[in-house]
Amino acid sequence: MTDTQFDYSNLESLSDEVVIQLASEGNNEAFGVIYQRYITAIYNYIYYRTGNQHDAEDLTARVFHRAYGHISSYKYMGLPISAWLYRIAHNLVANYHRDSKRKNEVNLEDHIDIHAPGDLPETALIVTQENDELLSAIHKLTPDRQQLIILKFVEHLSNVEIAVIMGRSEGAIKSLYHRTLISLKNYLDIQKNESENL
Amino acid sequence: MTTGSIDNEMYLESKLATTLNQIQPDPGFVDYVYEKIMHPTHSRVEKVKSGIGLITIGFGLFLGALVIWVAKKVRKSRD
Repeated sequence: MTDTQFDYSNLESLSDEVVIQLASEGNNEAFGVIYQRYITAIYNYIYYRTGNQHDAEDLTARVFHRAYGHISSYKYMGLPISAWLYRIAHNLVANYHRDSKRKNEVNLEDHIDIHAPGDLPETALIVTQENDELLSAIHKLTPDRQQLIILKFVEHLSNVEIAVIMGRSEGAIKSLYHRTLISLKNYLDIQKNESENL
Repeated sequence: MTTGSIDNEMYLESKLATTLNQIQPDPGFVDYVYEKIMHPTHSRVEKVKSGIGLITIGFGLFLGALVIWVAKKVRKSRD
Protein backbone atom coordinates (compact mmCIF):
# COMPACT_ATOMS: atom_id res chain seq x y z
CA MET A 1 0.00 0.00 0.00
CA THR A 2 1.69 3.24 -1.09
CA ASP A 3 0.78 6.89 -0.72
CA THR A 4 0.11 7.20 -4.46
CA GLN A 5 -2.71 4.65 -4.42
CA PHE A 6 -5.17 6.55 -2.26
CA ASP A 7 -6.33 10.06 -1.70
CA TYR A 8 -5.57 10.33 2.00
CA SER A 9 -7.05 13.82 2.18
CA ASN A 10 -10.52 12.28 1.94
CA LEU A 11 -10.37 9.48 4.49
CA GLU A 12 -14.14 9.09 4.63
CA SER A 13 -14.19 7.69 1.11
CA LEU A 14 -11.65 4.95 1.89
CA SER A 15 -12.58 1.37 2.68
CA ASP A 16 -12.42 0.02 6.22
CA GLU A 17 -9.35 -2.02 5.33
CA VAL A 18 -7.35 1.06 4.26
CA VAL A 19 -8.58 3.20 7.14
CA ILE A 20 -7.65 0.46 9.64
CA GLN A 21 -4.21 0.18 8.08
CA LEU A 22 -3.68 3.93 8.41
CA ALA A 23 -5.04 4.01 11.95
CA SER A 24 -2.77 1.15 13.00
CA GLU A 25 0.17 3.14 11.61
CA GLY A 26 -0.69 5.99 13.97
CA ASN A 27 -2.96 8.14 11.79
CA ASN A 28 -5.34 9.75 14.29
CA GLU A 29 -7.69 11.05 11.64
CA ALA A 30 -8.10 7.53 10.27
CA PHE A 31 -9.14 6.32 13.70
CA GLY A 32 -11.58 9.22 13.78
CA VAL A 33 -13.19 7.83 10.63
CA ILE A 34 -13.57 4.40 12.25
CA TYR A 35 -15.11 6.11 15.27
CA GLN A 36 -17.64 8.04 13.15
CA ARG A 37 -18.57 4.91 11.19
CA TYR A 38 -19.24 2.67 14.18
CA ILE A 39 -20.18 4.91 17.11
CA THR A 40 -23.94 4.53 16.55
CA ALA A 41 -23.83 0.74 16.15
CA ILE A 42 -21.70 0.23 19.25
CA TYR A 43 -23.77 2.71 21.25
CA ASN A 44 -26.99 0.89 20.30
CA TYR A 45 -25.55 -2.49 21.19
CA ILE A 46 -24.48 -1.25 24.62
CA TYR A 47 -27.66 0.74 25.14
CA TYR A 48 -29.89 -2.29 24.59
CA ARG A 49 -27.62 -4.43 26.78
CA THR A 50 -27.42 -2.00 29.72
CA GLY A 51 -30.79 -0.29 29.44
CA ASN A 52 -29.77 3.24 30.29
CA GLN A 53 -28.25 6.16 28.45
CA HIS A 54 -25.67 7.12 31.06
CA ASP A 55 -24.02 3.69 31.25
CA ALA A 56 -24.32 3.28 27.47
CA GLU A 57 -22.38 6.51 26.95
CA ASP A 58 -19.77 5.61 29.56
CA LEU A 59 -19.16 2.13 28.15
CA THR A 60 -19.23 3.32 24.51
CA ALA A 61 -16.53 5.89 25.31
CA ARG A 62 -14.49 3.14 26.97
CA VAL A 63 -14.84 0.86 23.92
CA PHE A 64 -13.35 3.49 21.64
CA HIS A 65 -10.64 4.51 24.10
CA ARG A 66 -9.63 0.87 24.41
CA ALA A 67 -9.75 0.38 20.65
CA TYR A 68 -7.64 3.52 20.18
CA GLY A 69 -5.09 2.18 22.65
CA HIS A 70 -4.79 -1.15 20.84
CA ILE A 71 -5.26 -0.15 17.21
CA SER A 72 -1.48 -0.21 16.58
CA SER A 73 -1.43 -3.95 17.30
CA TYR A 74 -4.63 -4.69 15.35
CA LYS A 75 -4.00 -7.01 12.42
CA TYR A 76 -6.53 -6.90 9.60
CA MET A 77 -7.42 -10.54 8.82
CA GLY A 78 -10.37 -9.91 6.54
CA LEU A 79 -12.88 -9.63 9.37
CA PRO A 80 -14.81 -6.37 9.71
CA ILE A 81 -13.47 -4.09 12.40
CA SER A 82 -16.98 -3.99 13.83
CA ALA A 83 -16.44 -7.60 14.98
CA TRP A 84 -13.48 -6.42 17.05
CA LEU A 85 -15.38 -3.40 18.40
CA TYR A 86 -18.39 -5.56 19.30
CA ARG A 87 -16.08 -7.98 21.11
CA ILE A 88 -14.61 -5.15 23.19
CA ALA A 89 -18.15 -3.90 23.89
CA HIS A 90 -19.33 -7.41 24.76
CA ASN A 91 -16.50 -7.81 27.32
CA LEU A 92 -17.09 -4.41 28.87
CA VAL A 93 -20.84 -5.06 29.17
CA ALA A 94 -20.11 -8.44 30.77
CA ASN A 95 -17.83 -6.73 33.31
CA TYR A 96 -20.48 -4.08 33.89
CA HIS A 97 -23.13 -6.68 34.72
CA ARG A 98 -20.76 -8.72 36.86
CA ASP A 99 -19.39 -5.76 38.83
CA SER A 100 -22.48 -3.70 39.43
CA LYS A 101 -25.21 -6.35 39.28
CA ARG A 102 -27.49 -3.71 37.83
CA LYS A 103 -29.24 -6.12 35.52
CA ASN A 104 -32.60 -5.26 36.97
CA GLU A 105 -32.20 -1.53 36.69
CA VAL A 106 -33.27 -1.44 33.05
CA ASN A 107 -35.28 1.50 31.90
CA LEU A 108 -35.39 1.00 28.17
CA GLU A 109 -38.85 2.37 27.52
CA ASP A 110 -37.56 5.96 27.81
CA HIS A 111 -36.13 5.93 24.31
CA ILE A 112 -38.31 3.53 22.42
CA ASP A 113 -41.15 4.44 20.10
CA ILE A 114 -43.91 2.98 22.18
CA HIS A 115 -46.95 4.24 20.35
CA ALA A 116 -48.05 6.25 17.39
CA PRO A 117 -48.94 9.88 18.16
CA GLY A 118 -52.61 9.31 17.31
CA ASP A 119 -53.06 6.35 19.67
CA LEU A 120 -55.63 6.60 22.42
CA PRO A 121 -54.10 6.69 25.93
CA GLU A 122 -55.59 3.26 26.76
CA THR A 123 -54.14 1.74 23.58
CA ALA A 124 -50.79 3.40 24.24
CA LEU A 125 -50.73 1.96 27.76
CA ILE A 126 -51.33 -1.57 26.49
CA VAL A 127 -48.62 -1.14 23.83
CA THR A 128 -46.20 0.18 26.47
CA GLN A 129 -46.86 -2.79 28.74
CA GLU A 130 -46.34 -5.21 25.86
CA ASN A 131 -43.07 -3.50 24.91
CA ASP A 132 -41.87 -3.53 28.52
CA GLU A 133 -42.61 -7.24 28.73
CA LEU A 134 -40.75 -7.91 25.52
CA LEU A 135 -37.71 -5.88 26.61
CA SER A 136 -37.74 -7.56 29.99
CA ALA A 137 -37.83 -10.97 28.26
CA ILE A 138 -34.93 -9.96 25.98
CA HIS A 139 -32.84 -9.12 29.05
CA LYS A 140 -33.39 -12.64 30.37
CA LEU A 141 -31.72 -14.14 27.30
CA THR A 142 -28.08 -15.15 27.35
CA PRO A 143 -25.62 -12.43 26.18
CA ASP A 144 -25.01 -14.07 22.77
CA ARG A 145 -28.77 -14.32 22.14
CA GLN A 146 -29.24 -10.68 23.13
CA GLN A 147 -26.43 -9.75 20.75
CA LEU A 148 -28.08 -11.69 17.94
CA ILE A 149 -31.42 -9.95 18.50
CA ILE A 150 -29.79 -6.51 18.61
CA LEU A 151 -27.72 -7.10 15.47
CA LYS A 152 -30.74 -8.44 13.61
CA PHE A 153 -33.45 -5.99 14.66
CA VAL A 154 -31.57 -2.82 15.58
CA GLU A 155 -28.71 -2.97 13.07
CA HIS A 156 -30.72 -4.92 10.46
CA LEU A 157 -27.75 -7.16 9.63
CA SER A 158 -28.10 -10.36 7.62
CA ASN A 159 -27.36 -13.79 9.08
CA VAL A 160 -24.08 -13.84 7.14
CA GLU A 161 -22.97 -10.50 8.60
CA ILE A 162 -24.02 -11.55 12.09
CA ALA A 163 -22.12 -14.82 11.67
CA VAL A 164 -18.92 -12.93 10.80
CA ILE A 165 -19.29 -10.59 13.78
CA MET A 166 -20.11 -13.37 16.23
CA GLY A 167 -17.46 -15.72 14.83
CA ARG A 168 -19.89 -18.49 13.91
CA SER A 169 -21.20 -20.12 10.76
CA GLU A 170 -24.35 -18.91 9.06
CA GLY A 171 -26.04 -22.20 9.93
CA ALA A 172 -25.15 -21.78 13.59
CA ILE A 173 -26.67 -18.29 13.57
CA LYS A 174 -29.90 -19.57 11.98
CA SER A 175 -30.12 -22.28 14.61
CA LEU A 176 -29.31 -19.84 17.44
CA TYR A 177 -31.95 -17.45 16.12
CA HIS A 178 -34.60 -20.13 16.10
CA ARG A 179 -33.72 -21.18 19.68
CA THR A 180 -33.70 -17.51 20.73
CA LEU A 181 -37.26 -16.98 19.48
CA ILE A 182 -38.41 -20.08 21.36
CA SER A 183 -36.74 -18.87 24.57
CA LEU A 184 -38.23 -15.42 24.12
CA LYS A 185 -41.68 -16.90 23.63
CA ASN A 186 -41.24 -19.02 26.78
CA TYR A 187 -40.14 -16.03 28.86
CA LEU A 188 -43.11 -14.01 27.58
CA ASP A 189 -45.50 -16.84 28.47
CA ILE A 190 -44.02 -17.10 31.97
CA GLN A 191 -44.35 -13.33 32.45
CA LYS A 192 -47.93 -13.45 31.18
CA ASN A 193 -48.83 -16.25 33.62
CA GLU A 194 -47.17 -14.42 36.50
CA SER A 195 -49.07 -11.20 35.78
CA GLU A 196 -52.36 -13.12 35.47
CA ASN A 197 -51.78 -14.78 38.86
CA LEU A 198 -51.21 -11.44 40.59
CA MET B 1 -43.00 -26.89 12.95
CA THR B 2 -46.77 -26.31 13.19
CA THR B 3 -48.73 -23.45 11.62
CA GLY B 4 -49.33 -22.11 15.10
CA SER B 5 -45.65 -21.99 15.96
CA ILE B 6 -44.87 -20.30 12.63
CA ASP B 7 -47.56 -17.71 13.37
CA ASN B 8 -46.12 -17.21 16.85
CA GLU B 9 -42.64 -16.77 15.41
CA MET B 10 -43.88 -14.27 12.82
CA TYR B 11 -45.79 -12.33 15.47
CA LEU B 12 -42.72 -12.23 17.70
CA GLU B 13 -40.53 -11.10 14.80
CA SER B 14 -42.90 -8.29 13.89
CA LYS B 15 -43.08 -7.26 17.55
CA LEU B 16 -39.28 -7.21 17.78
CA ALA B 17 -39.05 -5.20 14.56
CA THR B 18 -41.43 -2.53 15.86
CA THR B 19 -40.09 -2.41 19.42
CA LEU B 20 -36.35 -2.34 18.78
CA ASN B 21 -35.39 0.87 17.01
CA GLN B 22 -32.01 2.33 16.31
CA ILE B 23 -31.24 5.13 18.73
CA GLN B 24 -29.05 8.05 17.77
CA PRO B 25 -26.54 8.84 20.49
CA ASP B 26 -26.51 12.39 21.81
CA PRO B 27 -24.45 14.46 19.30
CA GLY B 28 -22.82 16.30 22.22
CA PHE B 29 -21.59 13.00 23.63
CA VAL B 30 -20.34 11.84 20.19
CA ASP B 31 -18.39 15.08 19.68
CA TYR B 32 -17.02 15.06 23.22
CA VAL B 33 -15.60 11.53 22.93
CA TYR B 34 -14.28 12.30 19.42
CA GLU B 35 -12.41 15.32 20.76
CA LYS B 36 -11.06 13.33 23.72
CA ILE B 37 -9.68 10.68 21.37
CA MET B 38 -8.41 13.02 18.66
CA HIS B 39 -6.94 15.65 20.96
CA PRO B 40 -6.07 14.02 24.27
CA THR B 41 -4.99 16.49 26.91
CA HIS B 42 -1.55 15.60 28.14
CA SER B 43 -2.02 16.32 31.80
CA ARG B 44 1.05 15.74 33.87
CA VAL B 45 0.69 14.53 37.39
CA GLU B 46 3.15 16.37 39.54
CA LYS B 47 5.26 14.10 41.68
CA VAL B 48 4.73 14.53 45.35
CA LYS B 49 7.98 15.61 46.87
CA SER B 50 7.34 13.71 50.08
CA GLY B 51 10.81 14.38 51.54
CA ILE B 52 10.47 18.15 51.36
CA GLY B 53 6.88 17.96 52.61
CA LEU B 54 7.84 15.95 55.67
CA ILE B 55 10.73 18.30 56.50
CA THR B 56 8.37 21.31 56.17
CA ILE B 57 5.77 19.73 58.46
CA GLY B 58 8.45 18.71 60.95
CA PHE B 59 9.97 22.19 60.94
CA GLY B 60 6.52 23.73 61.43
CA LEU B 61 5.77 21.48 64.40
CA PHE B 62 9.20 22.21 65.92
CA LEU B 63 8.69 25.94 65.45
CA GLY B 64 5.23 25.76 67.05
CA ALA B 65 6.57 23.79 70.03
CA LEU B 66 9.44 26.27 70.38
CA VAL B 67 7.06 29.25 70.42
CA ILE B 68 4.90 27.57 73.11
CA TRP B 69 7.97 26.68 75.17
CA VAL B 70 9.36 30.25 74.92
CA ALA B 71 5.95 31.69 75.83
CA LYS B 72 5.74 29.43 78.90
CA LYS B 73 9.28 30.40 79.93
CA VAL B 74 8.45 34.12 79.59
CA ARG B 75 5.24 33.70 81.61
CA LYS B 76 7.13 31.77 84.33
CA SER B 77 9.86 34.39 84.56
CA ARG B 78 7.23 37.15 84.94
CA ASP B 79 5.54 35.22 87.76
